[in-house]
Amino acid sequence: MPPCGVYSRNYAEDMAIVRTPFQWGILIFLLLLLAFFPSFATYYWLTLMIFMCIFVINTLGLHILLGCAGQISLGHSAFMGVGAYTSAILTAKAGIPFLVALPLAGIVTGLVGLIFGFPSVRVKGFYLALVTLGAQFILVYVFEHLEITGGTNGMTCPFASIGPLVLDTPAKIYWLTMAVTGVMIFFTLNLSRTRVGRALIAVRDNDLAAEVLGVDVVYYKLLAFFIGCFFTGIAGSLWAHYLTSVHPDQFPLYNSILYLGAIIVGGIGTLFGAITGAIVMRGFDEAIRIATPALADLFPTLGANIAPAIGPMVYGLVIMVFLIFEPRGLHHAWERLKSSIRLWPFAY
Amino acid sequence: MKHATRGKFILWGMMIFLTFGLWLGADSPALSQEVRLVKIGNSHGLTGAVSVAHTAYMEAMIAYFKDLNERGGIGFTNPKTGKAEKAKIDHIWADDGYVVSKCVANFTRMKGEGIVFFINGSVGGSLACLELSKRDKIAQIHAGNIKALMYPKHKWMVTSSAAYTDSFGAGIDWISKEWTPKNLPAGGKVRLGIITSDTAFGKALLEPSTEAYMKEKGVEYLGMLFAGVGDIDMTPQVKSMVDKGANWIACNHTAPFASNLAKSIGRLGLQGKVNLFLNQACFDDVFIQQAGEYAEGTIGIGFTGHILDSDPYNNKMREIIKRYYPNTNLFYQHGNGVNYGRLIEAGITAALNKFGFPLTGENVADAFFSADGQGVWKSPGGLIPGNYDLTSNPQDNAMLHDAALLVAEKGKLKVIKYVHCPGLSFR
Repeated sequence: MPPCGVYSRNYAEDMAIVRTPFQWGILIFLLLLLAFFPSFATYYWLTLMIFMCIFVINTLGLHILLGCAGQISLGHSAFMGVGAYTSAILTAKAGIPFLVALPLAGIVTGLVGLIFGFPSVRVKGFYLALVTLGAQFILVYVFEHLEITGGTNGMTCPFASIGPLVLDTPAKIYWLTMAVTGVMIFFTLNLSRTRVGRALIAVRDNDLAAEVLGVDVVYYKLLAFFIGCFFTGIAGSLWAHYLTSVHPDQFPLYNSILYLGAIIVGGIGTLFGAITGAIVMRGFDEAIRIATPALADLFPTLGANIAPAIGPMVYGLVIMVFLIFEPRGLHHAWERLKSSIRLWPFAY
Repeated sequence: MKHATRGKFILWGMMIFLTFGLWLGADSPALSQEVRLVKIGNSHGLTGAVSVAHTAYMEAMIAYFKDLNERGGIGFTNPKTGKAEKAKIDHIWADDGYVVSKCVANFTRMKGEGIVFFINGSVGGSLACLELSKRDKIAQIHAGNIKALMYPKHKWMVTSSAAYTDSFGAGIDWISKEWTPKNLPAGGKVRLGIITSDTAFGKALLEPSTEAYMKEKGVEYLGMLFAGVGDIDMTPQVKSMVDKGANWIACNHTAPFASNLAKSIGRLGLQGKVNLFLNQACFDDVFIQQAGEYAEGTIGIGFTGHILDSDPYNNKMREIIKRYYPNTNLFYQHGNGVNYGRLIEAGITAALNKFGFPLTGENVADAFFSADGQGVWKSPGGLIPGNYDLTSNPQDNAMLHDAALLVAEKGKLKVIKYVHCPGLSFR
């Protein structure tokens, strides 16, 4: 809901994402802050932001798949592995430049996602979740048993490079991941405003009705898998070239569930929800990890593993609380808060 | 509760939780100018698949460093001034749930906090942090005694024991030289199969050099079968091995996995007919407890000394751990944690004596890999036999220390003899 007094006089204004000078001001301020972040951030905060950006790209992919098209995926961590290995193999073994390997990693992951997305034509919901769960295990098994991936020893790859510029410091990697994240967010935002996006939403809301209306459900479901996994492949490529090593253990089922948790907490079906959910879940992760040694010191008789065990309990609790009390996620809570502030002192 | 109120309640609740968490962690005591702190990071899986062992390591290390600090810290001679000084260990630890991404996050966070050394509990995490260690110049001691981590040797990766292949090689030596003549007819062959998990850790005991070594020693290798990490019933795998003619089954995993394997052998009525060999990671008192009667007769490689043994050093270690964790049940892995603490204390002491304070990651790495022949880790007795000299020579024989060949007898681990681990990892 736009603020009072803001109205559209033409189609362009109606479709504009940034509508008021205040919103432009906030956006420019945020972009400047992010651009100059490395000049005042510590090593820790830079690496945290890099992880955050990679997490956000992953959840954007899942947002397109689940939030827009309603296709659940429990294999997103393994799909990220496909992107990571593809990029690592292309750069380390085939000598392909990073700027070419990055989109290729996305395309290969998209194609792999397409293969595991074929069952979505016939099954949905719980059964599709099982298929993608299968993908999680099958892909990790493949990573562990192929010679080209290094098997259970994993493989190394070079730093990302753009021409002669090698991105080997946290600040440079931060700018790369931030730039890629910005592009992905822009793409996702506009995808939902196009014909394709509206078709995906129609498939999500009621695939039978969409089919009756002339939407090619098969095509759009597979397209959702391709695009969602493309995003994840990009995230995987960035991950591989940040760590400069790839190993099957980096892509466990736990991470797939974490991405789903982020979407649920943020709000399924909204871009803002996907980004906020990623930031909140990652933030929770860090807060718990920082707090547990202090908690263990407060209650030493409980032993060293009780405090860390609070982490997984909190995760589960957060997801349960959101599903029960705020099923539409943080995005919905935020929208209500904004509305109540705008309407204050009136109740409605 | 009204919709808008509920939403505000949830948002505020989350903000308070996050703020509380960050405040708890960020709140650190003010440092006096005289307190010199050497920061070391530690990431272990306190939750997840290996929490049984890793919690014990962590409790022992926390207790060890706390006790060290309470006694005034590490004493060293400042090389610049020649004066005797003290430095304390700031032990920054975190759980990674045996998840690689969390381990990497811990490493990078702790690097940001200024650590000069990192203790890494997971094989996958160690592999992931291998390049980060080199890049960020922070040496780490790692849990994964696999070839990819240990060789070629460089100063950024430190290990405290033989590679899994090397200790398995010691077992092969003994089986072929001393067990076979007594238990098999002349010309009879040892037929050995491996049942393990399909992970880097599980498969670590077998490399091409190990297969060649088995052939050299006249041991017929029957192949490797996998079981899931959490599998309780491994009778199909055992039966399959026995059908191939196995008279030995080897395993390299954690004690719970090994105990399930022992029980599976027992359930098929094969205890005593098929021998079980356990590699260094799993032959401890947790295995004895969990396998119960099925542990009897199991042979394997372990390291002498046990935290529950009655000798002055172990008595002192038990008292220290119990002081901070009175409710913990002490077992073998607490001893491993004490080992880590002692090794790191020795390494940091060597670094302080050589470079003074403040230390950098490179200083500590250099100290651990000092090639002055004195060795960093000298055993005061009890837990680790012999001395270590970690040099950059990949064929350093001092690395290949003696391990104990143990047998499980009447609910206890008994030393058969000390065996020398052959250098299979760098063949």
